[in-house]
Amino acid sequence: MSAEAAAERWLGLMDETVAEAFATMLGIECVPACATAASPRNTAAHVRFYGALDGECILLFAAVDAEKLTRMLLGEAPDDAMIGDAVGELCNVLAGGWKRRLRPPASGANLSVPTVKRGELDPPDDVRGYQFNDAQFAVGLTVVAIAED
Amino acid sequence: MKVLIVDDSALMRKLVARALREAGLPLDEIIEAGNGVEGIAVLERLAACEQAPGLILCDVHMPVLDGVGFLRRRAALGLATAPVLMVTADASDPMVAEALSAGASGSIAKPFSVDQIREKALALAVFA
Repeated sequence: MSAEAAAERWLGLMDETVAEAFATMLGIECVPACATAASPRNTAAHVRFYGALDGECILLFAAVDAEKLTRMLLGEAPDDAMIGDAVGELCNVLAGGWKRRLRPPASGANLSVPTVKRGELDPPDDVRGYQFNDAQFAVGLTVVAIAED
Repeated sequence: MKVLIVDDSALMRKLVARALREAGLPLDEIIEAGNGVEGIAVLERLAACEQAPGLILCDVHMPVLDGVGFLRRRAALGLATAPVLMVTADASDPMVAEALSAGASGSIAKPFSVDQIREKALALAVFA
């Protein structure tokens, strides 16, 4: 499989993972969208893959959209700590769900715990945008090495 | 029934608690702990009053004392009476298998639905 075809497959698996996560957690649709943001994305979560898969998954949110996500999850106005928790948990869920969809042995690779960073970010060049309700976020997937049957 | 939720994420504790309530389980009290050490302290406090939770939902990766450490310490202290459901975003995490060896009764993958929580909780919980 060419590198382009592999990258396209991985993005398709992330689309499935995002759709499943939002349907299960919030009962709403979340679909791929143009990866441009009206507001600067200044809230990020990061999970690293290691073992049979070497790479990382990064989520990028504008602060206003991270607040919307958290409010939808909790059903109440969130504080700052909850917003960081929500973006980190979503990154964890998406990284775990995406990895599970890979073929073994990559599907059995390990995940780091999510880390959350806020403020000025250095986002990856290539990200996939997603939209839910009136909010959006971006996912950056980096695969350095992968072992799949 | 008392339920103990052990998770370092305050958001996850709230989401798990809400799912348990929405699942319609007969809950007397939901007790939250932010890591394994706090979870052990809750079990000790309950044991001192001859009480125990009917179910524990426990995160795998936590600071201070993780899920596996929590399971081992509660066993060492003779507090391993309640079934433990591990909550994880990665069902293939080797630490989940380690947790099952250390006394966990099962696991549930995030994201989970209310129906999934209900099914797992009803299968495992000890109703007083």
